[in-house]
Amino acid sequence: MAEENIDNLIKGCIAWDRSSQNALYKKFSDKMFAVCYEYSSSREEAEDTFHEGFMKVFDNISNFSKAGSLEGWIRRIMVNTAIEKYRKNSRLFAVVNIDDHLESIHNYYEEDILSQIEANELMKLIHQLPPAYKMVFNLYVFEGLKHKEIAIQLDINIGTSKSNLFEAKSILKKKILKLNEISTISEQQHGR
Amino acid sequence: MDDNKDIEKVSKSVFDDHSMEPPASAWSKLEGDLNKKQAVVFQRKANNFKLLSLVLSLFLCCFVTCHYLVPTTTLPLHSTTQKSTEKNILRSVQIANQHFPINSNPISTETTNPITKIASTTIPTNSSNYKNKSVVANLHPSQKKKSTRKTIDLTTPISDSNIILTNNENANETSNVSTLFESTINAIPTSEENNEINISTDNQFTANSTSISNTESDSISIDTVMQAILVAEVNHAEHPRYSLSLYFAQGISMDYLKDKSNNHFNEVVMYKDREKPEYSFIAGINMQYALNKNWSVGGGISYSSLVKSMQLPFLYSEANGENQFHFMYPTSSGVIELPNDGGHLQAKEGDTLFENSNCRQVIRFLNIPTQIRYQFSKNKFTFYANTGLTANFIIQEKAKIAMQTSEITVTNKVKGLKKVNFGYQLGIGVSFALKKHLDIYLEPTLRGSLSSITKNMAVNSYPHFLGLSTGFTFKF
Repeated sequence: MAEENIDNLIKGCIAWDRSSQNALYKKFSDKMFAVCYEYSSSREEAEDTFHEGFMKVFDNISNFSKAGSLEGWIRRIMVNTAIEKYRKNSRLFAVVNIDDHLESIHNYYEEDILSQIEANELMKLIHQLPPAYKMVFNLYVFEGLKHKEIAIQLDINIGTSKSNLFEAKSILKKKILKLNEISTISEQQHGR
Repeated sequence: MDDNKDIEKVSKSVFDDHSMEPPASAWSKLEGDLNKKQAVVFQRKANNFKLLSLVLSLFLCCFVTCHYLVPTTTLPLHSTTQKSTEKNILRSVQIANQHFPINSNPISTETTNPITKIASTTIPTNSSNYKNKSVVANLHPSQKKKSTRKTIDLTTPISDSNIILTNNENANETSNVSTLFESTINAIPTSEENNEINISTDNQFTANSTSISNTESDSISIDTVMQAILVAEVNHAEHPRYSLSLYFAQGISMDYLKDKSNNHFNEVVMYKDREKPEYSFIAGINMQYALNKNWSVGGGISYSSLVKSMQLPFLYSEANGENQFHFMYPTSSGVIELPNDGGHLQAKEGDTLFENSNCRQVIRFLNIPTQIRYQFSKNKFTFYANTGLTANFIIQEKAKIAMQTSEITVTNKVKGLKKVNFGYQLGIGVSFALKKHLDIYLEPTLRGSLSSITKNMAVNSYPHFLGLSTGFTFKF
């Protein structure tokens, strides 16, 4: 039944039927906006990506092959739109000095640091990563791309992709540890 | 390491269930753009329909001109000079004698020489008696594979080389005509309906040459005579096998842009908005070889160009392979690299130069076209349609960029262009015989690309040219 609905929605969108387009938009807008937001450096940029992405979806929905899920296809378009934006804007980004974000953390090791952090907080931390690191981290972790694929998509070296991922994770670990420390101190203060 | 893996795992699980509400105005904004887009799509479809209508109209015009406006009753056997006619007939008779000596007295050249003299007698062309009278002749059975059925219309203004066979029963009708042969044909079936006299290959007739000398009469095989006539005709009708055309086409060149991965729609729109096609031309030579009366194949060489103008509000700098920085000017036909020569432009990585600039880009090609052509002739007009494939080699890219304070011209500094691409050509046209071996022609022509001229770019670019070609054809 659900599949039939999706099929009807697709047919309506191909026929440029506004109510079908609206229904499709309502069905996927929340999830897709989250995707756009995670790949963007600001909410405004996420809105732009979201808008462009949906325009592409409606324009190209006749090319949807039904080999995979519609959601996956739309998500792929959103991610690609975000990548395009990133590639354009990356030339305008200031060069990131890793030392500003990170001290040497290679000796850090904390057990179970992730169990103590909430999902939303983790998403916030990821979102706060420098754009280049965040993009590689997102593509590697969320989209499951390999470094070679990421290098092609972002027009960077494979080595850069690997180091960006490493740095992204390092920054995340450091920030998580910091959060952990803050919450521990806070708990201790409340305990007293 | 385990920690890293955990971060990935946890992040992914969190992200998969993550959702955020978009701004309330997002749909209304989207709807506004969808309305605009719908209008553009409609306009594009209307333009395609107009183009298709134009092409169909041209074909229709050619068809109407050919079948209704050009007179169809004229079919002269020969249209050559007296001298060449004599030569042709003489040669034909010699051939006929070689092939058909049986059952007939060979036609002597002495007999045939007067033929041309008699045939040169002026025939009244206004005689309505001969309207729709025609003679149909068939070649000898042994030659039938090569033969074609020929009809000689007696209402045609009879040239000095026309040869007329008449039936004695129609003597009154032919009495005023200076005929080559007054034939005595027995048992020749005559079709009243279409007023044709069919002459079978077995019939004999008497060739009366009294009109020439009033003394002699040769009895010869109709096969032989008709064969002689038709061989003469075929010999004469043989078209020159080779033709060389020089042509020039003026038209407009434009890019058809295609989103390479279906995910760069905005770039296609951006380039379309930014770039405007300009007039350009194609010039070249073409050699054709006639396979038969209607079909020919050929090839040649030509020069063409893709010209467009564009505006860009900003340039950005990028490092090349040697770690030197250049300003880049992105176009749908590659990225133009502006030199960082220490003069007007001083680029560093990540610099963006916000300056309105106008650019005129010219990409020059050397084309190697091959083509196949179908044609048919009516009097001095030949109507044809041709199609073929072309290999297009880029020989030069040039861009003139005008900024507020300076102008830069760069040559062969475009990244992302292929050295060669392949395309097709289509054309329909008409040629007019100025002289026996010289035609002039006019041809609406379309040249398109089957493969993109760009590589490693988000948008594929397929140049097209629509223009009007004119030229001369020398036949030999």
